[in-house]
Amino acid sequence: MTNLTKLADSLQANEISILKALKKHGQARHNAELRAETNLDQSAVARSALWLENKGLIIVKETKIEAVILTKLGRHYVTEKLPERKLIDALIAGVTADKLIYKFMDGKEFNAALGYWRQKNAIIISKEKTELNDVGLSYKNKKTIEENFIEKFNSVSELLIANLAPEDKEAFERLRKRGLTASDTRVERLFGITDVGARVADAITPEERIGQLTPAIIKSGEWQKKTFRRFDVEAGVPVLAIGKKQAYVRFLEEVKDELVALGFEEMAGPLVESSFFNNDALYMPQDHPARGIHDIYYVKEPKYGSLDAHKNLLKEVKAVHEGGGKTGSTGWQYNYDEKEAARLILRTQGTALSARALANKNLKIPGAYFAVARVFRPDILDATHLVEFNQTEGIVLGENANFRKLLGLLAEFAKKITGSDKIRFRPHYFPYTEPSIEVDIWSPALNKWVEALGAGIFRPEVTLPFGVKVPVLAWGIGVDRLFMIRENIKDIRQLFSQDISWLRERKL
Amino acid sequence: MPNIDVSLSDLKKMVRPKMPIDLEKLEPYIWMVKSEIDGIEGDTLTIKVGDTNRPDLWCVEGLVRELRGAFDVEKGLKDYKLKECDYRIFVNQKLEKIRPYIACVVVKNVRLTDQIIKQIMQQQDKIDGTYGRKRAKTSIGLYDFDLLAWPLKYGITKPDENAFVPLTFTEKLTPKQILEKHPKGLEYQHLLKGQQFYPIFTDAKGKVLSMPPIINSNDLGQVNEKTTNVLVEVTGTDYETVNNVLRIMAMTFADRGGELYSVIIDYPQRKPDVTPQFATRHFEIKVEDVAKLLGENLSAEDIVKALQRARYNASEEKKLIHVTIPSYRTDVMHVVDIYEDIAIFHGLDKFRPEIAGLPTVGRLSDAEKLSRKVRELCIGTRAQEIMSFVLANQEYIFGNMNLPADRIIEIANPVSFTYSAMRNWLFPSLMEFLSKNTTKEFPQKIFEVGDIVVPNLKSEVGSDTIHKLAFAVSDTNANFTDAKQALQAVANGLGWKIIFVEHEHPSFIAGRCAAVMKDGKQIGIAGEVHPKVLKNWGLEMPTVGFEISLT
Repeated sequence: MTNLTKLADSLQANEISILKALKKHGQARHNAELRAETNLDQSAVARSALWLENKGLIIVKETKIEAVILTKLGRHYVTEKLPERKLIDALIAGVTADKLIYKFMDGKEFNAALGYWRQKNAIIISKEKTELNDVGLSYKNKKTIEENFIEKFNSVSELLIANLAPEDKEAFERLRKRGLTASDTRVERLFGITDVGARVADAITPEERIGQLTPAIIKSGEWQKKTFRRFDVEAGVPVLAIGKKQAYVRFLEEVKDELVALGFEEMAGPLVESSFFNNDALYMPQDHPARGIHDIYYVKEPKYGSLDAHKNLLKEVKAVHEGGGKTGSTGWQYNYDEKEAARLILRTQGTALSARALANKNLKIPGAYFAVARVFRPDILDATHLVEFNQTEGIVLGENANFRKLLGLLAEFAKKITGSDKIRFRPHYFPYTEPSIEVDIWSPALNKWVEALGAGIFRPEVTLPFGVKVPVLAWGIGVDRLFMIRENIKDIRQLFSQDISWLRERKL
Repeated sequence: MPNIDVSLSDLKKMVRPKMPIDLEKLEPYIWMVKSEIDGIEGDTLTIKVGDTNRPDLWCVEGLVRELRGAFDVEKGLKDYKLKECDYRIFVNQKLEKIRPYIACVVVKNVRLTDQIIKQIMQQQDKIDGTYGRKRAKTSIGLYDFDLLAWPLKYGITKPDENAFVPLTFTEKLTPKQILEKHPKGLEYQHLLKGQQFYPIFTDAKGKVLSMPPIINSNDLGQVNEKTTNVLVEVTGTDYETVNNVLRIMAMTFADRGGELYSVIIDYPQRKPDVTPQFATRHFEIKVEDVAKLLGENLSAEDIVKALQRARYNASEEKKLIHVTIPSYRTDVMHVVDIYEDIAIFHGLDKFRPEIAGLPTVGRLSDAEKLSRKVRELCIGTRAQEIMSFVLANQEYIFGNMNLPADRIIEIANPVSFTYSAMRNWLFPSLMEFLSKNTTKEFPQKIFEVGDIVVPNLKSEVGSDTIHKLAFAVSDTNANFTDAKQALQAVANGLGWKIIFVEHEHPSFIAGRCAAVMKDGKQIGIAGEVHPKVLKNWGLEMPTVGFEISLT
């Protein structure tokens, strides 16, 4: 199949009519002409012409055109006789001019008509009467050039000045002076056929092609007798907005799946917590600097929750804080305030969930738990600070849990979750773990070390009040940062992006 | 986590004067004291000290003390010589309820350069600020010893007596005026709020040294390059903390060449104290316990060596290690603190990570499993998932939604109004999202699976956290059917039987809103958003949606 026939086969019915019309005429056509010749409306012509132009079959040029249109008064005379005709008809019928004014026309029209014939030397005007001479009488059955011109508007609403015959041009000028016609200048599209277009027009076969395949066509078998119009499968189409997972939620889902695969069970807990589970149970003293109003959101009302369900635990934690309790620790050496323990706050750390897990009577040993926890910190929202964000934290409990196994676990996290083999361990301080370490991963993208994980072994001051006698490895992953590095996000607020286009455009 | 600035050349000279240290090599050693290099500018090194329980490290002298161990320049306990004297301070009993404790040391023959004074000021500032809880728990004062007449008196004053010239001022002010006029008085006046008497520190001639914890006297309470003999005083509300701060300050002066002289604190109703106190503590640890926790069979010799590098004294006797804890190591509360130092000073890089695999079976929570199904179904309707903040405000939740105000969990100390409460329903979050996208392509179909919080006085945390799904469609011809169809599709996908019952809700158009029922209970709401609500959010597009509970 040649390219010409392929092209011919791909044309829609409207495109075919336009192309044929242009071919037939051979010359460039105006929009109005094309509309008249194809019986298509403005938008159909425009749309099809664009397709044809894209295929190189026609050229569309924009030109400035001047058209003649009738004024309101002018349109009146398309159906009514012009004053000069009224006058001549009346005179032939023997009506006297003075009567004519009152019966048939107003004074202004009468004067115009009189002037018209006078200029043509077709009328004799004396004191006694007004009558036509031979010239005038010759117009009895002959139309004036003005009449011929105006009649044309019976079928069209405008005429192009460039196309006017000399006689019409004269008529137009005269009528313009009389306020019956006007010209209108505008930019119009001129459609012309290209050489390829002309050849494609020749290659068009008369048979009707199938456009949209319909159930009726399939059922009737009509498709067996016809050919299918070819579609331009290479042409662009409008973007389809599909539903997508929020990119960061999707990343967190991946992290959760990795953790489950490693043997971790997911924990859950409330967003509003007691200071007890958020801090005290993690051996953070009640006057710890990170417990001030600049670091924790306090609940306005109710101020206090209830620790009645944890009376025993509360007693143990109090003893540990005050003097170490039965843990062999010196404790923090201060008077522990039970009321302050019940103070309600917005959870500030995912570790609160680990405390909840340790308090759970269904706690398994050996056990491994994790949570992706929404946490809250008083801050001003900016490119590097969020007022709420997600922390991924967890614990491993077991008789044989130890520091080297913790390092092994962290190395595995780094590999599975960050995809990094190159890691380094650094000593660190966390109030609830000892030893504590921080893990940096090497980011080839940033060409530097990035803090990615924090971990340690829970202090006995943390675990023993819960009655947990085995070592508990605790860890946290800086998932926000890892995601930002992976997606090359510079502004942390984008994790909670409110830009629908940005969300729609995310790559999986 | 305090940031401290130190002179790099000073630090290097003090750590290892004979052998230069390059910066690259220095960094891992800084890590050994749980600190990081935060920046370097010229000779100034900014160190972020990570351990909030070790104020002894918040000065160059303290860092050097540890680093000399880490670099194997020195090992074991550093001995601080103290000459016993009878410099005496009398403490007034009425301070018991104001600021009861004081500890002092006299330092003689110290050479204070401008740089050392700057370091000491920084140390004082960091300790007062963080460890001293902004002077509430402890505060430090320094005085020119040569100007003082002994014995001294830590007493009380009425607010309008004992006027003195405070630091940076030229005229005398009464304690009351100081609290009202002096910048430090204004900053710390809350610490003395409601007190009839204020603490005052005076000498034998009645001259004022300071008004703890507010301000020193301009006459006696200043040290400069010409000062060679110094009195260091710490007052506070916690006995142990006061003594620890004094100890750390004394060590700093001793490390700079000062000689330390003890001071007798004469309390009214207890045995006199002699300060500073350098008493050590003793722990015994078992080699096998260290091995068990660290997972590495360190020998007794390894352990002793590591401890000595960490500036403990340690010796072995029959697999039992006797450890002497330096007096300033108040952070050592339990043997695990010692185990950690063993790990660090043995060298973290010597521990091979052991990848063992967990013996447990992993599992997603039921809530997560359900939310994944729900999200999959929503995406199937071609909706875009969004994630928004739980934090919101009254206006978003009620005003904009055309609802009367109701009880929600509000924040007592919000930073901004925008985030001053927790949302009690999800739909306002979707409306906020749509309001930010009015110029973007429509239709906009969005959903969120997220948490909301409602007050519940019966709960131990005064509230319930509830997992919900909200869904919205915004389009030129969106109507109730769109919301109902989507919810029906989600419910069908979950195998839920839900019923729609005519319902009135001010956020939705009357007659185009339904309560969503499951098992005879309302689990949510669906409807066409009321034009009033749309207008409140600046939306001009018809919007419909639903919200259901997943908990």
